[in-house]
Amino acid sequence: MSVASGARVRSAGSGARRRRYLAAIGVVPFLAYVGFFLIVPAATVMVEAFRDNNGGLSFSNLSAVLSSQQPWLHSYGISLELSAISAVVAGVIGLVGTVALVSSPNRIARRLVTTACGVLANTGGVPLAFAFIATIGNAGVATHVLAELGFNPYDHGFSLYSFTGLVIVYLYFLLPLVILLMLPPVEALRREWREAAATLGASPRYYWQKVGLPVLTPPFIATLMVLFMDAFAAYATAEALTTGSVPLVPIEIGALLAGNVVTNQANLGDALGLGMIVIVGIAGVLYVFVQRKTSRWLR
Amino acid sequence: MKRSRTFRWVTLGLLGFYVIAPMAASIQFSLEAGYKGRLSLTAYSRAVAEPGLGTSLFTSVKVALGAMAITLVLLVPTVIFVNLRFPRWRAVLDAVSLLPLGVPAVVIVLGVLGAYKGLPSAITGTPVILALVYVVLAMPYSYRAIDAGVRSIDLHVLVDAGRSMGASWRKLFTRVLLPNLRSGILAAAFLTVALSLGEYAIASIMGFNTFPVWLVGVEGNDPYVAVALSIAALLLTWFLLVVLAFAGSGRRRRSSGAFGTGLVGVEAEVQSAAPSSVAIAMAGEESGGLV
Amino acid sequence: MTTTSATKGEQGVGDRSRGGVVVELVNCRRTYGKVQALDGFSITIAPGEFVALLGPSGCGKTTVLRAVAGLEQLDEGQVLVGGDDITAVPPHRRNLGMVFQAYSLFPNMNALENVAFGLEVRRMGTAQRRKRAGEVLELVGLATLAERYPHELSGGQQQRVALARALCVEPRLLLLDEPLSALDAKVRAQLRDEIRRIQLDLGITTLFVTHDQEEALSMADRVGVMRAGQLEQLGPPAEVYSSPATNFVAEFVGSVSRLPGVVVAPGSVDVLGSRLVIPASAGGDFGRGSHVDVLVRPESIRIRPEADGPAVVARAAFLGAVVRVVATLPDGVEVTSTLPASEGYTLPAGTRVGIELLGDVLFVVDRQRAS
Repeated sequence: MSVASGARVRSAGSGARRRRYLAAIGVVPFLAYVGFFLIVPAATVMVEAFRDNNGGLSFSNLSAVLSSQQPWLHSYGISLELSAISAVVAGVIGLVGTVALVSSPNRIARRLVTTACGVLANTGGVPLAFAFIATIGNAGVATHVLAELGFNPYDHGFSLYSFTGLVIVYLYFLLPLVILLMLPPVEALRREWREAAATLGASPRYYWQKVGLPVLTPPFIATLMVLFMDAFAAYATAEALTTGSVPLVPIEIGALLAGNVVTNQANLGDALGLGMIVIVGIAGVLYVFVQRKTSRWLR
Repeated sequence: MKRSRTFRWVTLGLLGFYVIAPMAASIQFSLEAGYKGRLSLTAYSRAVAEPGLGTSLFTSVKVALGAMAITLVLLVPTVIFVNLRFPRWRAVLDAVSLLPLGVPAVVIVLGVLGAYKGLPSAITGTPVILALVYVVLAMPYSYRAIDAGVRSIDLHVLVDAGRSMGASWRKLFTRVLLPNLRSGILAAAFLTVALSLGEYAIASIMGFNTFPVWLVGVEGNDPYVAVALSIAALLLTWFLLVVLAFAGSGRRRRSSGAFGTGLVGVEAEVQSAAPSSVAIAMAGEESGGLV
Repeated sequence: MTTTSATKGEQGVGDRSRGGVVVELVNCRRTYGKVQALDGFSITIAPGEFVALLGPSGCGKTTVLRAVAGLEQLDEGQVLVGGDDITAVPPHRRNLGMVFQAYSLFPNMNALENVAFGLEVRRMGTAQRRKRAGEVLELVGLATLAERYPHELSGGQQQRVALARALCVEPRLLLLDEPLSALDAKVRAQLRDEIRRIQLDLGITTLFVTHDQEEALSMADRVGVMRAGQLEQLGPPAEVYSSPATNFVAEFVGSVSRLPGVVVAPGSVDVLGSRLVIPASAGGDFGRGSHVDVLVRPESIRIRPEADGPAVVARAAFLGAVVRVVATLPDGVEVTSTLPASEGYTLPAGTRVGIELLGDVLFVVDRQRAS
C-alpha cells in the first residue's frame, strides 16, 4: 500500500509538469507565428537601424535621420502634423456626432449607425482615395458642379492631392472610429448627473463645462491616441492619393524600399521605421495609461 | 428639448452627407466616364476588358484564401485549447493578438524583407509571403471574432458531454465544436479575406500585382475604369459586411458578438473599452482597409 | 464672494430659520402618448411638512416630483412654491434640492466638491464654499470622507453625500426620489431615521416619493397614496393605515384579509360569526342583508388552535418578532393574521384553527364589485 501511495505522489508531481508542457504545445504555434511574422520583423528593423552599410554597428543612420540637412526630420514633421490634425479634427467632429447619436432614442437607428461605423472605419486605402478623386479631384463630380456655379476650388488654391486633401480623406475612416470608441463613454454619462446639476442651479452649458466634458476627457484622449496611431501608420490612402508628393514617413520608407535610391541606404529605411515604432509606441503607452483612468470613473 | 432635436438632425444629416457623397459621386463619375451629362456603362465594359484584371484578381483571391486558411488553422485550435485548458493564458493571447496594431504595415514589410531575404524565393518571391503576413495583419480582428465565438458557447459543457459519450477528439472537433463556432469562424474568415483583398501597402512595396496594386496602375491610364472597379468592389464588400453583421445578430443573440466584436468591437464589451475597441479598424488604413 | 442673501452670510447651516415654504400643485395633468401619468392632481404641502407620496409603479408619484423639480413639463396645471408660480421656470432656476435614487454624484469630483457644487454654481469663493460644504458633510456624518471619490464610497455613503449636496444650497424645498430604494435593508433603516432627523432640524418642506410603505408611514407627517395619476388619500400615517378612504388604499397600505360578511344593520356586519362595527369612514351605505366583502387587518384577527375550528393553517412565515399565519376557510377564503412569535410557532400547516375577529372593520365593499 505504501508503495502505491508513494508512486501516486510521484506521478502527481510529474503530471503537473507534463501539463505545463502540454500548455506550451497548445500555444506555441500561435506564439511562434506571431514571433516570426511580427516580432522578428519589428526587432529586425530596430536592430538594422543601428547597422551601417558594412554591417557594423553605428549611429550613422540615426544621425542622418535626425540631421537638419536631411529631409527626414521634415517628413516626420509632416507626418506628425497630419496625424495630429486629422486626429483632433476627427475627434471633435466625431464627439459632436456621438452626442447627437446618443440623444436619439431610436434603437434601430443606433444599431444601424454602429454597424455602418464598423464598416466605414475599415474602409480606406485605394478605393477610398479613388472615391474622393471622383468627387473633388481635378475632374471630380463635385468639382464640376462647383465650377458650373462659378467657384472652382482648384482655381483658388485648393487641391485634393495635398496635405489638406489628405486630412479630408482621412476623416472618412477616422470619424466612424471616433463614434465607435466614444459611444460607450458618452452613453455612460448618466442622466442623473445632468438632472442633479440642473436642480443645483447649473445651466446645461455649465454642466457640460464642469461635469460632462471633464468626464469625457480621459476616454477622448484615449481615442485621440488611437486616431493618431491609425493616421500616422497610414500608407495606402496617401500613396494612392498623392503618389508621393506629400513626404510622409511611411511613403518615404516605401520609396526607399522600392529601390528608388542607392542600395546602401537600405538601413536608413530601418532607422525611419524605428522612429515610427517609437512614436506609435509612445502613443500606445499613453493610451493604456489614460484608459485605466476612464474605467475607474465610468464604472 | 426642441433645440436638441434640430441639433441632432443637422449633425447626423451633415455626417451622413459626408459619408454618402463620395460614394454617390464615384458612381456618377464612373457612369459619366468623362462625358458630362451622358450616363453610360462604357467605363464598366472597358473595365471588364482591361488587361490584367483577371490575373490581379486571381492573385488577390489566392492570397486572401490562403490567409484565411492559415488564420483558421492557426487560431481556431489555439483559442479552443486555451479556453478549455489554460484560461489564464487567455489574457496573454489577447494582448498578443493586439500587437499588430502597434506596428505599422510599412515597418512589417521592412522587417520581413530585412529578416527573411535569405529564405527560398518560393516563399519570399511569390505571393505566399503576402498570405503569411496578412494573417498577422488581420489577427486583431480574426482572433477577437473567434475568441468571442468560443466564449459564447459553453465549451466545457459541450466537450464534457461529447467525451462522456465516448466521442474521439477528432469527432468532437468536427461534429460538435466547429458547427457551434460557425459564426465566429465565418466572421474571422470574412474579415481576413476582406482585409487581404484590399491590402495595398505591403503588396505594392513587395512588388506583387494584386488587385489594389493593379487598380492604382490603371488609374494612371483610365481613371474612369479605376473608379468603376473600385466602387464596385467597395459596395460589394460593404453589402456583404452588413449582411454578415445582421445575419450574425439574428440567429443567436450571444453569437452576434463574434462578428460584432471582430468588426465593431464595441457592442460586446462595453466596459472593457481597451482591447476590443482598439481592435476596430486601427489597421484599416495602413493595410489598405477591408476593401 | 458672498451669497446673494446678505442675512444668510454668517449663519451656519444648522441654525437656518425654521419655517420652510408652502408648496402647492394645482390640477396637474400630464400625458405620455396613451398613458395618463397625472390626472387632475392637486396637493398643498404646509411649510416644514414632510409629505410622502406612496403608490405602485406607474402611479405618477415620480412624475409629480419631477414636475415640481422642473425636469418634466406639465400639460396642464400649476406648481407654486412659496406663493410663486414656477410652472414655467426652467429647473436650474428653481432653487430646489433634489436627491435621486442612485448614481447622481459627479464622478470627477470628490465628496466635498460634489457637495460644494451648488455653491460653485452660485459663484461662492473657493475657501468659503469648501468650509460650508464641510459643515454640511458634518451634518450627514461624513466629514472624514470628504476627499473620497464617488466610486470609493458605499451606496449609503453616496446617498448621504447626495443629500448633503442638495441641502448645501439651502433650498426652499427638498425633493427625494426613492433615495433609499437601491440600498440594503439595514442601511436603509439607518438612513431613514437620519433623513427625518435632519429634515426636522432644518424645518425644510419635503416631498418624498417611495413605493415602500414602511418608509412612507414611518417618516412622513402626511402620506399621499396615489394610483393612476390621482391622489386617493392624503393624511397622517395612522389615518391612512386605520381609516383608508378607498378600497385601493385599504389593500395597498399594510395587508388585509378579505372576508365575506352580511350587513345586519347600518354600521354593523356579521363576519365569520362575529359581529363587527363599521366605522363611519369605512365605506358606503349598505342596507340590511347586503352581502359584502369586509377588509380586516391581520392584527385584528386572532387565530387559535381548535380541534373543530372552521379553518386550516395553509402556511406560516417566520418574520423574526412576529409570525404571519395564513389559514384557509372551507370556501377558499384566506385569512391572514400576525401573531407574536411565541404563539405562532405552534401552528404548523394543516392545524385546525378557530378565527376570532377583534376591533373594527377596516373597510367594506360590495361583494359583487370586482375591485
